[in-house]
Amino acid sequence: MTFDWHYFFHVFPLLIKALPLTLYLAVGIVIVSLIVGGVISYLGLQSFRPLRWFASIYVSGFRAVPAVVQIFLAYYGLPELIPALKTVSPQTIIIFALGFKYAAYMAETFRSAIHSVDYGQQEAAKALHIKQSQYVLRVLWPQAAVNALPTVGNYIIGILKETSLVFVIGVSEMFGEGKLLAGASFKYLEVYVAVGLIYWALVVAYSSLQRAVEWRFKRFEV
Amino acid sequence: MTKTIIEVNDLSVSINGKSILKDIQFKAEKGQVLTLLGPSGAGKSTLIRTLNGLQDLSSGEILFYDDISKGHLAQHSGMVFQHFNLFKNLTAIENVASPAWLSGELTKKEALTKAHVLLKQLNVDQQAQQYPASLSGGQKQRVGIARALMTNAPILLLDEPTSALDPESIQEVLLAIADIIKATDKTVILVTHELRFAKQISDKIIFMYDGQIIANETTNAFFGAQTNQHIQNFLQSENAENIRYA
Ligand SMILES: Nc1ncnc2c1ncn2[C@@H]1O[C@H](COP(=O)(O)OP(=O)(O)O)[C@@H](O)[C@H]1O
Ligand SMILES: [Mg+2]
Repeated sequence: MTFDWHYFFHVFPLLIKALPLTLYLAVGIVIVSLIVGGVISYLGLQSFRPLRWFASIYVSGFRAVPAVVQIFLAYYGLPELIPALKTVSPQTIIIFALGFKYAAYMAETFRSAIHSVDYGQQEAAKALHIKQSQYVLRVLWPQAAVNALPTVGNYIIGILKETSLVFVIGVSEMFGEGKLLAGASFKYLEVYVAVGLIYWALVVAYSSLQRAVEWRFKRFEV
Repeated sequence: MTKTIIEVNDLSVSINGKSILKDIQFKAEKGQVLTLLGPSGAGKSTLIRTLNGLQDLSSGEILFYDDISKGHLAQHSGMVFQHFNLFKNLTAIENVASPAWLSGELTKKEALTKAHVLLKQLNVDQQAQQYPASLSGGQKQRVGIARALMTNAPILLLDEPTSALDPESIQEVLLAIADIIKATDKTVILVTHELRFAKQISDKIIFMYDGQIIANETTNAFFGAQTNQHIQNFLQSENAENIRYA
């Protein structure tokens, strides 16, 4: 067989039309995972035990169940329990299903990022009569954020790629669109090479953004 | 005229059931410089940390007297750390401003203005906008001293402020400390292994061994004829060390 270069180039613009949806899903999942992950890690650091238990059960549960199972559960399972969910778009379901899953990873990342802030910083704050809330806001969280940055970046790349899973509930983002095109033209190789290349370009672009941000914070050397 | 500002009575500290400080008792007068000497592990840091409220005491009391009231010492002291403990995500000047700014005592703007004066006093105003990571050891510690002075507290605690420094910076920081002592009427409690410096600036020497105070004397008396074996051993080994590094 021969590689159909003509079709290969023809297919790019069709795939790129689906790119906004891929990005929309990725951004949505990232935002949900950061917010929910922040809340879960905050609960995990409280002294009231039931809150810590809740956080650790959340983390272990959402990390253990495969993404596809969570998507099916959220899309087909939960509406049986909560009929109102039947009217929610699959895009939104995906954003929350994967957002809640990645929140577990983010929470773990935040927790260890907070623990790796040098304890001398807390001692200095205490010894110099700085308000604990100000210490947390101005010193602890900013330093923890810098610590967390590389790991969070890796998860964001993971999320970007995992958006391709939404085809399982019939949403045509880029990979779903590719599947349709390939099914119609039988040119599987051309289509999936193109899809792969677009993901690659996305990840390369995101990685250089990430590096620029990390470089900006390098001067803290926390 | 002398006036007691710190009074420590029957202080004991245990950590995880292990007795670290036993029957600590001493007084400091306003404006005095007290130096804590003693071998490593004697409990000097634990004592400083207890005075400052970083370590809970098991029994006894630490009293602070000002003109009108009696209270906890912790609120009336500023602290300088061996490893600087500068806030890594704040610039030098923000670090110095932090005790007033992040306690709500002053607005950020007011605190920065005051911080600039202190940075100048310690000759690190050129580095005001730098982050700690880009400062030399000596610069870091001078920023640390400026930050402790920002608290306005009448008591300054310094735990081995030069132990983490290279030989050139040691001199630079010791000079800065001597200047501060000359320029203010702060009561200073200092832990150091720089014996010559201690001899020059201290009013009194407190010698600790194994969690206890075994000498509390004027500087002249301490460096005069010593009969206590622990102190003799300490002075000999420290002097040998100083000669090695001279
Ligand atoms: N947090 C702690 N837990 C257990 N032991 C400690 C702790 N802090 C200090 N110690 C012990 O207390 C003793 C005195 O330590 P320290 O006050 O640091 O002495 P110094 O500053 O004179 O070298 C040492 O034996 C040390 O091991
Ligand atoms: Mg010590």
